[in-house]
Amino acid sequence: MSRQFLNVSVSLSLVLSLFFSVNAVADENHYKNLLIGERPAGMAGAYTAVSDSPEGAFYNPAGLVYSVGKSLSVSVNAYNNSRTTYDGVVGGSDWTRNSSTLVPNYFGIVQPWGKGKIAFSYAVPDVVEEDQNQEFTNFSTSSGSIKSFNINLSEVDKTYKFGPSYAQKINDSLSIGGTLYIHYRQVKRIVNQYVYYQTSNYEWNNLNYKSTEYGIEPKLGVMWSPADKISLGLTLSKNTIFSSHSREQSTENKSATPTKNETVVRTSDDDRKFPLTASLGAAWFASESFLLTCDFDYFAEVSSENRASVVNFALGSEYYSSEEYAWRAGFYTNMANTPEVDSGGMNQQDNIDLYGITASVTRFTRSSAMTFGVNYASGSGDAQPISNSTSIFDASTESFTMYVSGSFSY
Amino acid sequence: MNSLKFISLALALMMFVSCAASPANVTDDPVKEVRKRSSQKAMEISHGDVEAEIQFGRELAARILGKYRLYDNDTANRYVNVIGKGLSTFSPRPELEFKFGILNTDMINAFASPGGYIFITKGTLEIIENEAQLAGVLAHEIAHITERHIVRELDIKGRDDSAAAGFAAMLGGGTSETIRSVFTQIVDKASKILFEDGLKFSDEIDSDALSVMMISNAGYNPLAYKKLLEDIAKKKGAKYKKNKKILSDTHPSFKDRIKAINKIIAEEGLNELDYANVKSRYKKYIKL
Amino acid sequence: MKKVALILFFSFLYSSPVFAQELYVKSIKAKILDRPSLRSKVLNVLPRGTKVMEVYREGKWVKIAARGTVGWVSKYLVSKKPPMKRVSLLARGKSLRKTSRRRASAFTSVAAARGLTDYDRARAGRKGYVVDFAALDKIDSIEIDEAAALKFIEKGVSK
Repeated sequence: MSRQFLNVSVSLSLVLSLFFSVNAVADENHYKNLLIGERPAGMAGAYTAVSDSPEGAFYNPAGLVYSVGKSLSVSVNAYNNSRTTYDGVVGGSDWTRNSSTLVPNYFGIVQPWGKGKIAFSYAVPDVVEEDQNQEFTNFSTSSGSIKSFNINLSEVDKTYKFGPSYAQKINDSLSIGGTLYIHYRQVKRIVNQYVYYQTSNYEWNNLNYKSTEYGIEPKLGVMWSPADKISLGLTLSKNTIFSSHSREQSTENKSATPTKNETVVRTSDDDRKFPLTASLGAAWFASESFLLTCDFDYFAEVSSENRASVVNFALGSEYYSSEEYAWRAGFYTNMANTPEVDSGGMNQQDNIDLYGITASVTRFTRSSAMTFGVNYASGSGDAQPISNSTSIFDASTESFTMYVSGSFSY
Repeated sequence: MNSLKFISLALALMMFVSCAASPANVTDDPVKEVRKRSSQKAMEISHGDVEAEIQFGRELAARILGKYRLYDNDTANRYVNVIGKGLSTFSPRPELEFKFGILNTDMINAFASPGGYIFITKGTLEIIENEAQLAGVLAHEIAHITERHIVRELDIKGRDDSAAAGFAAMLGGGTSETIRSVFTQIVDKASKILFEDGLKFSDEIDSDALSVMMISNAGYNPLAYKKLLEDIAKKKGAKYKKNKKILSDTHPSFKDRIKAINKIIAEEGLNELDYANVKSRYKKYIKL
Repeated sequence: MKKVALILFFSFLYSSPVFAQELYVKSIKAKILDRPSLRSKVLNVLPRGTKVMEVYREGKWVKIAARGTVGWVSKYLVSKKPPMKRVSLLARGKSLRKTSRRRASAFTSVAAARGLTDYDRARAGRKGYVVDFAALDKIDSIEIDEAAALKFIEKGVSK
């Protein structure tokens, strides 16, 4: 049984076709939710051909050989606020889902080791923390006139990656590297929905969902300098889940049958399938103060998960106005990996393509650097937030991230 | 439209080709050099590093002067400073102020202390016949400083938390005995290098090469420096035995040095230059 | 045709010195020669700080382009970084206050260095080596102007 099915099956057991199918906010449906790393985040995550700092462990481990200095460590703390709005879903009112999180989202350390460089890093590429309390009053549905509809939702969904990397030069212009990440995701979700009719009838549904998954994600990277000041990078990776467990318990009670408390528990050990990912990057080190880079990320389709293939593009630049200050700006796409929403279908995933811009500034001292940056992404598309309904609604998403980070050489 | 596409492609190709054809950076790792950003290049040799070098160089210079004493002859000292200063303008370290001193000893030797202090002995001045040879010796020592031979060997850098920063703090009033002793140990090591072990032989050969090029650039006859080395090598007798041992312990053999100098002379066609020795002016100012 | 000409113009621009290495003259002056040899003709003399474009490198010589001249210069006289300003422990004041935390220690050390003689004489007794900062100060006090010194050398070698 797939996890999506669990949500749908809960809704199906109820008479009222009003309940929302609650999915994660801009989470599984996109591959570039939180930009990782002090330097790459300001450059829209276009780092595959640069990667010459501890963040290289995440983007292209082959670049680690070009990190400067003996040892380096980077730490990023990010605050993210994301909002998805479904237009006019309930009696003409919008339904908004909001996520707010503050999380240390990257740490990396690199050091010389033998003929090459060794690194260890930890990344949080996806985080959702949602707390929602919304009440809709006095509206009509096909099941009757509603006096009030309350929905409370609390969700924490975190994905972690951590592991070692190693890189080595093949010759003056070619290097290879590898990262071995352990992937860990934990989701905890509580959804409470209560409907109170004009007739004083009520329906109540409570859902408690928890899942964990463990995976292994090797990344292989190559970095090539075909010409002076030009760098090309290629990374291949695939996340393979080897252990997962999810459990959903839902309880419902209706005024029509007050003494009947229906509790359904469903579990699943299905491992989520991830696509093969290939990133191709090019960078132009124009001068010691200007760098321009672009990335193409390709994610293969995963038909068993109903995920379409995705190509994301990112363009980043970095400019040193002095030896002490660097400024970065970038643009990227974060396309939905869900299929187009077809009319006539039901319970289809949100399909919202996102576009983002990034900016950051870093202040350098002899052996350290501090960065402040912001990202903003937004997009609109189609959604079917109401379960078992063919209605398609306009939906839009906005995501804002602010981060502070520090790096030190020692 | 097709021709435009073709031209765009040609343009892109030309950009790449010219990039490839532009001279590669002369370093060990050209790719890494290209990737270095402004902030990283600033960290390489900074103002703070030069300060640390000068601080250290003063301490070492004071030891050299303590061991051999300054030769009390204002005219000679000033003349050596003028020639040395003039030569230093050809050196790629305009941030340093070079100072020169004559050591009151019959020993044949010359010393360079980081940060710009250079010493030549009275004994050396006695063997030198002309200004070109003096220029050769001074240029050799200047080269040790411009190539940072000593600071590189001792890794003297002005980092915030390094021993060098500790030198400054400690010199300023002695924060703790441990820091002082670390600094003293490093100066001890430098003294040992100068007086007993010598710098790497390759550094000595490099300094000879740089000296020959530097004095040629200044207009002096480079063959004069070669003659000086040959003259010193020929010195016999008990008087020079101890001296020559010190020189051979701290430098490559005269035979190797002269061989290396001959190689450069041949490579750069320095044999055919008709440059000056400047003998009479030397005799005028150096009256020992 | 205009489009083609424009594209060709920009492509020439891009493939030329924009990507070439910039160098700076570090010596007080640098002779630009006809060929990579001290025996060749002097085409031009460039002052310290002049920015030049590196065209080619061969042995101890660099072919450069600057101020309309293309010629060879000794590699020891040029460098990738502009000449750093003279560093003197004594010429402080304004700059010290600006970066006070980092420089203060070096500054106080200069003040102390000059007065170290007494301490070090005492130290000498214990350790067995002697330092002479008085002699060092005497050397420091000899002020020579660079340009004048260079002229002195030129006068001597040109006879």
